[in-house]
Amino acid sequence: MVDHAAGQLYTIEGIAAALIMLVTAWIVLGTTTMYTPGDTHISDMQLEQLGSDVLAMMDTPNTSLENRAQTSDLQKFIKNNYSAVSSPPGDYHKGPELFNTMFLSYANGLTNGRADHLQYAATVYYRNATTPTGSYEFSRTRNITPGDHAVRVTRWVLIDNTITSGPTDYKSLTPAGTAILDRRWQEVLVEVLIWRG
Amino acid sequence: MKHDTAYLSIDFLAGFTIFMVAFIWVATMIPGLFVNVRGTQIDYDAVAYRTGVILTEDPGWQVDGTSEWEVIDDARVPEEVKRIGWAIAKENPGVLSAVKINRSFCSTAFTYPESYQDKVIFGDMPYRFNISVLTNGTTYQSVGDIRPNGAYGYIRRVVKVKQMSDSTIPAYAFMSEGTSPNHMFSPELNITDLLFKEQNLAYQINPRQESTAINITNVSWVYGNQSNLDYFDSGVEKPVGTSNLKVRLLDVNITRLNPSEPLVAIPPFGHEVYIDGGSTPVIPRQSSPVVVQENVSILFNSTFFAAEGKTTTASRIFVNFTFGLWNTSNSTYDDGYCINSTFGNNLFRYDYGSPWVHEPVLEPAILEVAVW
Repeated sequence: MVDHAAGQLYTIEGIAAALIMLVTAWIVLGTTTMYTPGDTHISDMQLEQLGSDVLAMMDTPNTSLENRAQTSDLQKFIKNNYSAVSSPPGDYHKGPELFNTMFLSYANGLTNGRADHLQYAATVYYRNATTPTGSYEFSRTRNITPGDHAVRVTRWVLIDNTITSGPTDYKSLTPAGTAILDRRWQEVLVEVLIWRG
Repeated sequence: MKHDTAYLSIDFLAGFTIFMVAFIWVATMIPGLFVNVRGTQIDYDAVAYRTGVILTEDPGWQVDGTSEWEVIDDARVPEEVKRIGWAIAKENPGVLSAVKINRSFCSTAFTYPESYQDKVIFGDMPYRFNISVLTNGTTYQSVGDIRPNGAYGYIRRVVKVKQMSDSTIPAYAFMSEGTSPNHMFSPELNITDLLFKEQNLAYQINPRQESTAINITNVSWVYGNQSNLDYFDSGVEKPVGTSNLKVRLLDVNITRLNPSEPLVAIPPFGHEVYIDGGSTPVIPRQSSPVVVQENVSILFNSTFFAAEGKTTTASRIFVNFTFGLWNTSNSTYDDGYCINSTFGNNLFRYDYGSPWVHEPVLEPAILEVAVW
């Protein structure tokens, strides 16, 4: 028995080894800060809150007059996105451009005057008499790449598309110039993907 | 027994099994282990988030159950302000009151850090914090310590801040139609109307809760428009400085008309005004009139009209400016044309849609809360 004991583990040694390994694992886990997938919800939540704040504030009219006319900045931007004529007067056709400026100034603003580095891509979803559901890319800072971890925020925006004449009739066209929305009040869904970049 | 060297023994199996069971047990505890590792950070983030929500979506709470905590005077703040919230109303999350923001940064009312820990951060731990707001990219307000280099809980909110309304009244729009010895100009603030016509608190003009201002401008226009008086030198208007006409402001007082009550003056009798952009307020009186070249401004702070005994929500307020045309040649007040409400029905109403009134505007702002 004694002669042939080489190479065998005895019960006490097994338990000792188990304890040593357990203690090691415990110490290792306790001394390092590991960022698990479960914790990303905090920064996601912060980004989602910020994004939904930005859309909500862009959709809040600035004055009593705008409030009664139901025209927030966001409503104007979506309504006046592209022009049917080549050089229209005013800012009516600059919706995506103005959206980009305002979105970035709201989302990237810090109270110390510096700027954060958030990227976004905004899409508008709609339906009209001919298209059950359609969408078009509204504005974006750059394309989202596989490495970007984006969060998604959305907001329903009410668009008054009843006006059929006058300088505001530059609205709701695709970049190709085709009309998107019907001539009525309607809601469109604005979806914005936001990521740090 | 001679050939047992290559076998696993029962002993080893027993030990290995114990290890595996323990290992599996530890593995199932791993998510919980990380909670311990990052627990404080998660807690800080949650506190920062909660503080952000209270500030942006809650109008606050005072001891009587209403949300008008900003009107409570310094001495009563520790007892009576229960929660600091900046929202205009709970129906308008994200639209903040400039009055509430300014009040909460007032160091005579709130002590740092106890008042804030008690009324906005909450929790049993004495958290350290930094709350900062940047309105319209220009106005920076903050309270708290400098943020640490290490980890801290954080939230950033995008909001709009309701600004005060004001009025700019050009003298030429309210000139008397005939010559008169008395020149009283009385802009009217009809509180009932103001509160009724716009019921969305985010856009309402409410003199009882927010500051209001009346600026009378272009007073020099009066000097050049005295067709009956000799203020011209061979047909050419004399420069304002050398003219023998001086527009004097003799008095400013405020009267109130409540339903089924007579017109009464509300104190103070004689009110501070700013003349020609000066930074020192003066109180014009019949006995000590002030000369006006270009403009007269009067500012009512947010608590002025709401003070006990001054106005109710059904009051009409008249701010009465009494002007005189002083002739320096013979030291008398002349009859002439001047800004006037009574001769020519030039009633000015501080109201929505008036070309002379700037209604409240919502300006974008960034709010950051850090907790550690």
